[in-house]
Amino acid sequence: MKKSLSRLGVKAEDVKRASIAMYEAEINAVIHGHGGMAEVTVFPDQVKIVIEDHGPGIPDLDQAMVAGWSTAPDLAREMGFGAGMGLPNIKKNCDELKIDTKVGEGTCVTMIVKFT
Amino acid sequence: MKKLHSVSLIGDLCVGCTTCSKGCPTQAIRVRGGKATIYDIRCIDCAQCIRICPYHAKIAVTDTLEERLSAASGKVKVAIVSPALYPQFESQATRIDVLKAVRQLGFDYVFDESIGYSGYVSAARQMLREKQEMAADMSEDEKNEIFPMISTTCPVVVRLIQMKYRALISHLVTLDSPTELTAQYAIDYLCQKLQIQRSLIYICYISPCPAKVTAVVNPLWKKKSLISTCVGTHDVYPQLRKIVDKIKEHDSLTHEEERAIRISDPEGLRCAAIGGETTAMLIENFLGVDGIENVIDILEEIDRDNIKKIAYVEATCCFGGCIGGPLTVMNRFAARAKLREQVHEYFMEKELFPQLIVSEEEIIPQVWELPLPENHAMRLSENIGEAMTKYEQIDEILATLPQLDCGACGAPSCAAMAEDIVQGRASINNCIIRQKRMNKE
Repeated sequence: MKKSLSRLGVKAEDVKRASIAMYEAEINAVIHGHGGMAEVTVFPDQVKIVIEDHGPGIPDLDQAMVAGWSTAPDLAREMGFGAGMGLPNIKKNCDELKIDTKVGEGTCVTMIVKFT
Repeated sequence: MKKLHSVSLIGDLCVGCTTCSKGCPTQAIRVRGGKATIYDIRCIDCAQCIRICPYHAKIAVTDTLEERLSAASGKVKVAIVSPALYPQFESQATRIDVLKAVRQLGFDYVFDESIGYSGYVSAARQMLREKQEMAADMSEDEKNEIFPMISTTCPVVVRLIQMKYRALISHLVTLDSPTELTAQYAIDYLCQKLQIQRSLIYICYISPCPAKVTAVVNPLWKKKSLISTCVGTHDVYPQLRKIVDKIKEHDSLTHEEERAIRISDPEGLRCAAIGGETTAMLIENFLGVDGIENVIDILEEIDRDNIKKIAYVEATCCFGGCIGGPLTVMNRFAARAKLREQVHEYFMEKELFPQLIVSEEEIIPQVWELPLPENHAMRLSENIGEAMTKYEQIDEILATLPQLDCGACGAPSCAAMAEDIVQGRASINNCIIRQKRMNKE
């Protein structure tokens, strides 16, 4: 995605924001959601990134958004992930964030990064 | 924007083999009509093509010394010598011997470029300290925008960042290059000493690579270079070697030579090899990377904020640093060993010729005159809507190409070919595999 946005002429800082947001959401989908699907749509003025998994869902979304809060397993933490900064980092780097989650069914994160 | 590069092609020698096209790290070369052509705006002067061409058809264009010196008659002729030149000789030659020999090529004054390196690292050290102090009140994101600082001594690295890692421009050390710092020192010194006008000083830089030549002809962050002309190390080497081999006395200088030669402290000299610059930074958390592919890997990691806790990155396009420059002669490992010896000889130099040594305090650090512009050579169009249309067209065309990346069409890969077709630079009929498949059908 990063390379594609660059080739489209999107500004370096916008590419960076979109990359960070997408990366964090991907990591979440892998750690908590046991993998999932990513869909990226580029519009002339923004990029929309949707990451969907069929994992356990997030029981308390407000709590999950708190910086430092983490339910990541030890294995993930041993590899340097799971510091509880994923969702806050996503929120900071995108202009619109929508999280649809249902316990037992999965999570769908929709992120929009507007081009400056 | 004016685009001039120092890498060029000898058409007669080129057989159109695609080695350079496939080996170019920025995909700047296409073979058209059986000859390699450089797509100027994407060339970063890394000289990879010069190194890998099996037919030696790629060369670095520099001026020839005789022509240049005769053009400078009536002026004070000054040479600035890259420290990468000193370890290029097999004999017992010391740094001062090499500078003595350079002077005999027809120069009035000879300045060791290590002087500028010494000034550069000392100013960069200061800059790093200031930024680290400022960083105490910064958020993690703000820190990620300036750290690690990336050295700007290798112009190839700067051009690469300018084009492919534009988010890292804010990490670059905003100091003028060691070449220019040395030139500024030489000018100030001579104007004062000889009481002459700046316009009477003619400066020739002896360069280990085409990139530093380009940085003079087409400067990155200033309007005009202080250097008047450049010659490549390889151009002067045969002549120089004859003179160097004749030098038997390593511990004496004529009065004239004493007046005409200026050298640096060992910090500056060490910068000719990778690791020299970071050693002089006096920090633990640095990183040194050499070789263009390795540099690309590291920049990619920094761009993803994956390199944490590193304060300073020294990156050189060439393996081994400037001593491994494409215009150098000696094997780079041998050159590195020789350079180490020459660094040790500093104590002898200091003992015998203290008047020749310029200390780092004497160099006035200059910062960029102009901000570094971004190079958008990689984007498909200025207009994002048009770029998106082109992107889709590229994907469609790519799907019809064999994806073998054979290079026979002249582009380094099928993806590059698809882009060339959409940009109107190539025809799909150039794909021989596709043509053959179509004929069969």
